[in-house]
Amino acid sequence: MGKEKFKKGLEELDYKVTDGDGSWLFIKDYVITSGRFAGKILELAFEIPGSFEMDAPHGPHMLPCLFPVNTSTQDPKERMHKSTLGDEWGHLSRPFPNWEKDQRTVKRYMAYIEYLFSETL
Amino acid sequence: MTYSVAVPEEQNIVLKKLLLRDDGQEDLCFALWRPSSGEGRYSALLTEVVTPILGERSVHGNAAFHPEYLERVLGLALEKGMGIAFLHSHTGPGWQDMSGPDKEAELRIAPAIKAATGFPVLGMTLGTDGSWSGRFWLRENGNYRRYWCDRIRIIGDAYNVTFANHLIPPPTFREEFKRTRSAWGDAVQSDLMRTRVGIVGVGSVGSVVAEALARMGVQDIVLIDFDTIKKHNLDRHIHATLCDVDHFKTHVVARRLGEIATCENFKVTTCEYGVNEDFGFKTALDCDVLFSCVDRPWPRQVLNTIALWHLIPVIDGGIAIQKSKMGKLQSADWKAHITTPGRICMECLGQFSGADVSAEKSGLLDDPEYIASLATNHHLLRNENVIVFSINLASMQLLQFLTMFINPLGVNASVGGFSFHFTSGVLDSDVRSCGPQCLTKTYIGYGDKASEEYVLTVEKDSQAQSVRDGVQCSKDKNRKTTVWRVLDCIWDLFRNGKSFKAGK
Repeated sequence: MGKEKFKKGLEELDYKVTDGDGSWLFIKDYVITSGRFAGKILELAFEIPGSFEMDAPHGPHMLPCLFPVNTSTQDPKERMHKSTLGDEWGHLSRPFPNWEKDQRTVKRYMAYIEYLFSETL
Repeated sequence: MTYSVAVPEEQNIVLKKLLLRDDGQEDLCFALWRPSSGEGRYSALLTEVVTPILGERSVHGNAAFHPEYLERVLGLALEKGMGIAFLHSHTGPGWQDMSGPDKEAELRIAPAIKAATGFPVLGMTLGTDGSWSGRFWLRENGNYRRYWCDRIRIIGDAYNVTFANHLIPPPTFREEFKRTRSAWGDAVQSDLMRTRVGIVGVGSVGSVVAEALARMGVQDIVLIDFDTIKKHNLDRHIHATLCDVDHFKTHVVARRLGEIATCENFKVTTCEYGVNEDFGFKTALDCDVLFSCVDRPWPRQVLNTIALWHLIPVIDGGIAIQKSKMGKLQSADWKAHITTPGRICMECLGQFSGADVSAEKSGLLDDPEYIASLATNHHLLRNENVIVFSINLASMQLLQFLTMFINPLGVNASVGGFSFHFTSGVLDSDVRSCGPQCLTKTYIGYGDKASEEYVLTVEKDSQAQSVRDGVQCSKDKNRKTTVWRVLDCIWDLFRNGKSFKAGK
């Protein structure tokens, strides 16, 4: 149920969504609008919990990886986890802060994703 | 299969006002319910009373409803996807049996209700002292057969229950209970003893809770934990010894409870699954009250929904220890509280966060690389604990449990949760409410329907399964080497500098 809800929310926001195996959803041609990586086009993947919107996805997986995998630093501009999707992917382990106090919508989540890419990297 | 009903206190108050008339006559009404399906128990969560409007029922010594009332209720039930309960009152106290006309009335409406809603009709009778009886009418081989509910639970700040004594007989009080009974009386002791209590997590806190409950006389205890005893548990787990390493915690605790339980007919059920796994979840739904003695966010989230969606009060607790950069203890705080409708839920209380839950569900909390990459002061790395803290926390959770049963002076609500600060020695109470964005409280009493909408459990958790597989492997390997294990155990004792003396 969570994956269907999240997919519907993405489609309502005009994202090009494809179904992955299990709980995965993929967005093609995600464009970073501002910040250090402005203009970059990525494929994003989200592992959607079955309990969405009680929980949010843990953080985006991206292809290509914007910078090398490095978990020895706590600096958000350099911290990147490896992704279970493969070596070419990267995973930003950046959960939505205080999701339980927020509106818990796909729109709010994607606004956070935009903020992540534009303001924190 | 056993059967039960849970009624929130709010609806119970409405029902008592409707059905217990000032003129002493019987009265009736309908209500709507949703199912909560455990592994061995089917419960109705009765959350909506459909008050009769003028002309829908007559009261003339007995009470009768007119067809339009049932039609209206059927429409509502269909619209909401709920079952229908038919409730009436009797003019005496205590658990109520059925008269001939009572049976006829419920049998008459059972087919229509089943055909329209898909659910069996639930019949309930209220005694003048607020005691309830209940039964489902199930279709078998073309006929409708009555199945009594063994207990009707009223869920609120206080926990009230009516047992069907022919199904769950009142306990006999032995010499062992003399002091306990004298503290709060036979009625409370009887209800306490017959309550099925589940303990989720039987580590350092859960094992103390289990010991206390078994000594207090609780007859039916369910232990839910997939984990095994490790050497690093031995400084805190009151039932485990070196010989118990690699054994399921549930088995170790169950063995001990069998030795010390004070009641007759003591029953302990063990479940080597996590509450975030389907079987562990369903086993928890068979319980009347649950102790949350877990230290992970995902099981807490599941327990939070069990408390509010399935109307099973959960007594949760947790310990947080802060150390200085030099590694010295700076502070230790622990809290215990009841999660139930009308109280703040675990999520709003901050006992878990959605971020941590999703990390756990993604497997990150069991990924050594991920854990190693966290900042040194990250809250997920805090797993320090001390036996004295665990015992104190268990005691606080047990006290919260007792406030529900005893409800001294009716002030349970104002007590709130307990929060103890080791550094200052101060005990606070917490009476906050859920925040406006709380999603969990939106589905209070929705039971199975909410759990289907939000899939919080998995069939098998990979971490839990690897533990179970490890135990199985070990059993297979050791089947013929029991003698070697005993010798190993003795060797370990000598190697660690311990000695034992033979008894005289």
